[in-house]
Amino acid sequence: MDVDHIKTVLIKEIAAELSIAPGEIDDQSSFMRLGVSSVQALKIINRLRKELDIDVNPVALFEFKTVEDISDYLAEEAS
Amino acid sequence: MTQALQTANHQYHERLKQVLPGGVHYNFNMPWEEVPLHFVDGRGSRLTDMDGNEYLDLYARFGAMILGHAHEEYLDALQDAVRRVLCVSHTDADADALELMAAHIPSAEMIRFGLSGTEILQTALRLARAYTGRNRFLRFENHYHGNADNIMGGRVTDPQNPVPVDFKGDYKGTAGRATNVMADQSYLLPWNDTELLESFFGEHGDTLACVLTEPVCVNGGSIEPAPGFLERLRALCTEHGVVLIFDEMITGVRTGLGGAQKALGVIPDLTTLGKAISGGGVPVSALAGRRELMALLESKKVIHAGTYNGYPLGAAAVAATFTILARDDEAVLHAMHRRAGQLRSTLVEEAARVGLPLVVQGPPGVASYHCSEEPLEHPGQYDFDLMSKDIIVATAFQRHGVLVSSISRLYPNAQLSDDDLEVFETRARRALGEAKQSIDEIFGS
Repeated sequence: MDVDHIKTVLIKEIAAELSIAPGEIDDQSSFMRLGVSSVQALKIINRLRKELDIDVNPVALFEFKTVEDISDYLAEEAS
Repeated sequence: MTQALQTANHQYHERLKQVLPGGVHYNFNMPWEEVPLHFVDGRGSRLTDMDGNEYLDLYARFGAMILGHAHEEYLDALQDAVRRVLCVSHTDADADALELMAAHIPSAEMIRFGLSGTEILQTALRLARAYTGRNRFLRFENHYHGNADNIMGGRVTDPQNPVPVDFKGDYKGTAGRATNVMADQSYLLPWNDTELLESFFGEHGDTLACVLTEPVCVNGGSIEPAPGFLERLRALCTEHGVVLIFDEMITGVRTGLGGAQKALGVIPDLTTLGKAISGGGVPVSALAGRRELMALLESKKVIHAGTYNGYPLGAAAVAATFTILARDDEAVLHAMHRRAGQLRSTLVEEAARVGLPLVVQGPPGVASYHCSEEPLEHPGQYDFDLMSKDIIVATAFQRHGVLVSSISRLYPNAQLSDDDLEVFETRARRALGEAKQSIDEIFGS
């Protein structure tokens, strides 16, 4: 799966969850700096997981701090 | 309570991060511990943080705090040891501690002390290799045996050659690991699969130095061994000349002073212990085992070293812990297990009240809850959905003043009281109602 597509979807989901504009989120934005709570992060990742049809370890996702890291990881899992 | 968490704790964490990487001394902090709680007081089962919030402590520092906070008899023993002599190699404190352990733990004919679980596991591996003259060891998925390069995380990509390798997204993986250190030394199998174990031993049994297992897979969700699994593992190890090592870092003391090996009736060749054996106030790990193996340490054929090994305060802490817990046929532990059972019932009832599927599984001193209709039978069942739900419950618990250990472990202590159980019921009711709403929102009702 294309990493740019994943990134776009991820930014869209974060923006929706936080009620902010996608333009306010860049590649280096992290869940922690954006103020995404643990439960919000799980919501975002669960939606992405379903969309990409991959099984991931939710704890592992907190290893990846930025939009870019998470997208790279999910792209690799989906490949 | 949520708002209060953002005040003194938050500010202190920001200050700490300037000199302490991540603001923590430990990398396995869970997502909900983004801002760690900094405590200023502990009494019995309760903790108070910098903001004055009070918590019921079922986290117990990963299970180490078996006696509860500020246990008077334990503190007296530590104070006495501190005032006598601190930093010497040998004192009169060892024999009491070691003889008490040997009297209760079936495999403990001889014992050596260390400081950390990671370190003592590596000594166990070294001993097994020296004894057998073989290099490789077998461990199991979702078990945890410390944070050394050769033993942490990884996954198998070729079931025909089940060696663990690094993979991206491995929560228990690490950058900086020595190249091929897992693949060159070890095999990794799913746990609780007797058929697979038989087949593996048929092919690789004669090349193994040892097998490492938690007797109850607490790290994988407090999953108990399938009927006959440990017995068959024991028999296969004996048949193939392989050293069987039980990692009782968590189950030791918490499941009874004889550990899970006594409760389950399967005796390993070596046992690694730590955490609760020294009561929760000071660090001590231990390697216990058959005299024939441990004798390799006696002759200096196998090196085991460390400046603080067997330090007087640690030995005094072990002796005090075993003395307190052994009294009147382990009466304190039996009472703790009874209350842990009540806590388990309360949790299940309160979850049912809000319509949240939830089970509690594992022995009462080391149990875990799971947002599931049925108990887990093997660690591989702990998937995204289940882990996510368990995390949501854990975060709700923290918001409502109950701390559980990652991810969903419930560690009671010797001072757990009827009053604590009442407090738990009230807080669990609120937390589970809130968690149910979040879970429905994410996964649908």
